[in-house]
Amino acid sequence: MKSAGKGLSLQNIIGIMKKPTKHLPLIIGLSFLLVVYVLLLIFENELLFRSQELSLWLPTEIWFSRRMSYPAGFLTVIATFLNQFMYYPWLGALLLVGLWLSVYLLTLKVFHIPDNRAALALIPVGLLIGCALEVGYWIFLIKTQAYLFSAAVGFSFTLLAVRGWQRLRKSWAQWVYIVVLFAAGFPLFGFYTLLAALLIALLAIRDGQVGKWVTLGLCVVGIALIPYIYYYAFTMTRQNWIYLAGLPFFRLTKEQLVFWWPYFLLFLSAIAFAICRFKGLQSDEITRQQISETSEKQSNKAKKNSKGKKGAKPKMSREAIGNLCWNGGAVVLAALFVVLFWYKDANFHNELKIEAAMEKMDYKGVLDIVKKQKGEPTRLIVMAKNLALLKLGRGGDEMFTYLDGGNRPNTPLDIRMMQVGGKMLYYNYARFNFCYRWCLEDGVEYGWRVEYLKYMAKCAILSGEYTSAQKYLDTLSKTWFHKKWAKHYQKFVDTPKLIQKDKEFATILPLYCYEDQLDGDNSLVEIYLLNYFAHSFGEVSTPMFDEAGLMCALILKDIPTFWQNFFRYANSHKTDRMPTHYQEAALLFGNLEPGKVDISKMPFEKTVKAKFQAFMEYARKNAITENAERDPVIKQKFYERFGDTYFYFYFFIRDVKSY
Amino acid sequence: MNNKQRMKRYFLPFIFLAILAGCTTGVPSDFEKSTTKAAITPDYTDVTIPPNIAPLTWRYVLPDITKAVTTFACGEEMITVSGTDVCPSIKKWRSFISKCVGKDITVTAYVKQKEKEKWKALKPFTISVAEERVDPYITYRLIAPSYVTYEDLTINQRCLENYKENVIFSNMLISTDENGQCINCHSVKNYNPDSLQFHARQHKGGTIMAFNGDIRKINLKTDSTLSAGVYPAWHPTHNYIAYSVNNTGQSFHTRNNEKIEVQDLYSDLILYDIDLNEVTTVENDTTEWECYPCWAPDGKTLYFVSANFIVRDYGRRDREIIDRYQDFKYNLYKKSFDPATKHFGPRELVFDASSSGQSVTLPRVSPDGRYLMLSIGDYGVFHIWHRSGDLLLIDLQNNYIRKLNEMNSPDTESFHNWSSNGRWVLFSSRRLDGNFTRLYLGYFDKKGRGRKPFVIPQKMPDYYQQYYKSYNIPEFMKGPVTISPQQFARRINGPTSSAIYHEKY
Repeated sequence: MKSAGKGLSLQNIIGIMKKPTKHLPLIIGLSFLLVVYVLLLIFENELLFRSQELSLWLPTEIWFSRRMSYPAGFLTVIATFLNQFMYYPWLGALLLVGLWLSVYLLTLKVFHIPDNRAALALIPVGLLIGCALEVGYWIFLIKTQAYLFSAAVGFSFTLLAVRGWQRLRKSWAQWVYIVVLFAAGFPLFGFYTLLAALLIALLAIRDGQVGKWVTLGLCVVGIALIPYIYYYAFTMTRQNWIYLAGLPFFRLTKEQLVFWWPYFLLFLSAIAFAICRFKGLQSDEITRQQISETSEKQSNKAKKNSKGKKGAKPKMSREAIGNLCWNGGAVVLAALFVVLFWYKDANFHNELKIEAAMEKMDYKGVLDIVKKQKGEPTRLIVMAKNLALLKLGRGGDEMFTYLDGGNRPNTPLDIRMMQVGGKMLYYNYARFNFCYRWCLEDGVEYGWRVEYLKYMAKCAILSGEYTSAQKYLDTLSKTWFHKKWAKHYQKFVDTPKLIQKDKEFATILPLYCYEDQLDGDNSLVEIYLLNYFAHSFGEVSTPMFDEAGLMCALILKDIPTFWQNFFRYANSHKTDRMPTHYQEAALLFGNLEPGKVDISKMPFEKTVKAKFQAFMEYARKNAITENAERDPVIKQKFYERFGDTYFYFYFFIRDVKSY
Repeated sequence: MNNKQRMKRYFLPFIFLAILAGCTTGVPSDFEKSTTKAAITPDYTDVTIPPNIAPLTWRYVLPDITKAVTTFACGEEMITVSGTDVCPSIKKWRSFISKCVGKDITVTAYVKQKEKEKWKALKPFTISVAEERVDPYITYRLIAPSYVTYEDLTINQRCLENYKENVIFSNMLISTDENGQCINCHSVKNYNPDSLQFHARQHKGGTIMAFNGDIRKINLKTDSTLSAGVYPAWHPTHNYIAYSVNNTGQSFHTRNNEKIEVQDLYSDLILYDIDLNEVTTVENDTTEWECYPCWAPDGKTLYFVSANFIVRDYGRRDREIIDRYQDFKYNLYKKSFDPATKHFGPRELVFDASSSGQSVTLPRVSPDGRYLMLSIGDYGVFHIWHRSGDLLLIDLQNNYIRKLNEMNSPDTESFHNWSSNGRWVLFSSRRLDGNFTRLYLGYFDKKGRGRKPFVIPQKMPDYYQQYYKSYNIPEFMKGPVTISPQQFARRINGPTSSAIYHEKY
């Protein structure tokens, strides 16, 4: 059939839909997933990279046997193996998309979805994408290793298992297959084996197979009994939870139910496909002869039509419209699932970008990200911004020129700053014991991850625990993608003298000048760091430590603490210009508590004085109501004029809660 | 002939030869002697081993080592193992070692390094095989050296005669994400695996006791005691268990590499009568921090440690305890005990560690009653987190006290136990990497001298380097625990019986 014109018109598409071509399903799947791939690389580059930092795959017997001591352990092995390629996000994403494509193609085969309705197979793919991309802050808390790959690997296994069963012709062979599937599949893939068995049972009944009741019986008994039997083989799972082995560890609570939705829908879609009988032909069922016959008939029909109604446009048949609707609807539905479940929170993504920039010591990059921030940032973003400014020595002039606030992470999870970026903060603030501690705590809770091992190695090096560092470096050197990193840090273990000369450590060690004490942070990183630096007055100090103390004192808004830190800072920066925000704070506190500290001889800059007077004047005129600082209209007015001053921060940034 | 057949025909003989060459365990005939001693990890040089231990495995730590052949020679007997990872087969090892009992094995390593093509015979070292066997099983808890979180905890048993390890109980059989369960302080009575107890804390908590073929779950907390039982000591002849009861806290060092300080805010001693399900106070002085009870083998003396600490400001008691953590110095005490009446005598000082600015914990009396081993450190009660932690030995016959330096290292040594024949000491040490506790076995001869200890061998030489859990509370057992983890889980899911408090006898 020749097309009426160049390009793909609606008529062309209808034409394609009408006549199943061998490559149409592939084209549909590839097009859909190509778009997803591009979107992934554009919007989730940092998430993809971080996902492998928060995972670990090791080619060692111990690591493997540890994974296998849990039901569905092999699923974890495969998922973590694939996940490590996210070190290069383009490569990891390619594998992930490849896996989704295989799910798509397997869905077509397993459920005999006809080519003219191939897009229906995109529905489970869309849901699988949703399963992966709904992750958001879960990436830090989820105990499922290599979460992005987990569902895709599991569901691929389900479909492969069903396909394997379909390939067997003899009933007895199919029954043996089911028994083997249960016996070998459940310990390796957990729930996904049970799902495969359920689909097998449904397909056997749908297709009216010989011995379908035996198949059904085998599957039902297997689903009920096999996990129960394996409960006695594994010692690491509760009896009722073993049925769900391989599924993510979301709790079945009201808040977390939302994370289950794509999974429920995914399994329901598979069940629905197994129940529905599709009309039409599948590409592998069409012989060449059939294709030629079909195209001949259609070609003749088209000729007839063009003869009879010269110049008339080809009429859409009901079937073609039906196909178009089915496929169009399926694509839209799949896309809808992707869009619906994809976690798109801006603060979350900024946090990921900031962490990546911080890892590269790109402090200017951190500030660029925060500068572009729209909407109220989380405290982690504010803390990271202050840290970057401290490292660049620009805190005193710029720390209040960025958006401030304390937006809660947009998630129903009880997430702590500690779990997201707290370790990075502790490390960079030279609180090595605390960074190490939380890496260890979270490593135990959520499983060992590359990120934790890296921080533990670095903390051990900087604390002088070289044998301990060696252990973590040895582990990292066994990975495929972090050998180079391990080699770089190995030189500090071999030659500790190099530590003092290293560029990265040079930005941290000036803060490592405190004495030991027994303490605890109650997992509140920000509160701990603020109080610690603002109230630490040891015998040994460094200019950077003093500056950190003063910056923290400004945030705490405690006037006596400010003065202590202010004078310490002034002493250690005698030759430097006093930065703007420190002047602003001194001027403000000197006026708020007159007589306590004599500020009359302090050489405030004219611009600072002028801005302070303007602020006070503006406040007299505008902030006349009680609690004016909480009034959003007044707050906005002040922000527009004084948003880059400490005065604004002091009066208007209130009720900020850390987490 | 197709490709497949061609492959088979031409390549299989080569593959076979290559495998054969790889398996060759012949000692090189042409080599030069080196004065360098073999550097191996783990360190098994010059150690004394029991005749029933699993094969020792190690790796040579030499730059650019490519090949190695190791010979074990004892009289006319010899076995050879090839490879830079020395992993003798169990069968070969057993047969060999059975002929070396009471003798020394000379181990010679022939190595080949990249630059030097010629084989080199390193300076040999010896492994002595003691005459006395070690109890075939040990039990321990596997825990990550974390502080607050624990996730999966298991109490395991390991057969020392091979590498078989299995789980006695895992908290994951009970724990949920919202309700975690900590399991700890497992202990067996008189090395008998059929009488054991451990605690499950938090979710569905209680003390689990397998005793007389029955599994019980008991709540040892009463209104008159500080807490449920914590550190246990089975009475050797009667159905009693002495416990410390503790209210424990932990705080974190901001800079010190020891990282954490575990302290008791309160602690006392109690006695639990299993038959009567009855708890009695043994010691509850408010100025004394009593801990770690331990019975003498005859069951007529109870040893324990206790620190005297006077709080200066009750308004900030807990903070003061944390701030003055280095002031906690535990001494060793004992009390006489009449098993028939359950009557305790007054406390008597056995070792005044505080007078020398030290602190002792974990008393353990040897099965013959002659020696008492302790853990000694600069302060505190939880020496596993103290680099100063060492083993200390008291000869109860003459009160001679000395550090067991034959077994100590510059790093932490802590929890220890005697084998049933008193010839082997099992203890935990952090000497390998400073953070992860590993189990060491040391020979203790009839004259009261220790020998260089060795880390419990594993199938893979680099096992400990790769393993991220600590071994905790090691004890010997004469056989394996046969109750399954699921049986324990069923019992833990069941009802708890509460112990009754009884005034002092």
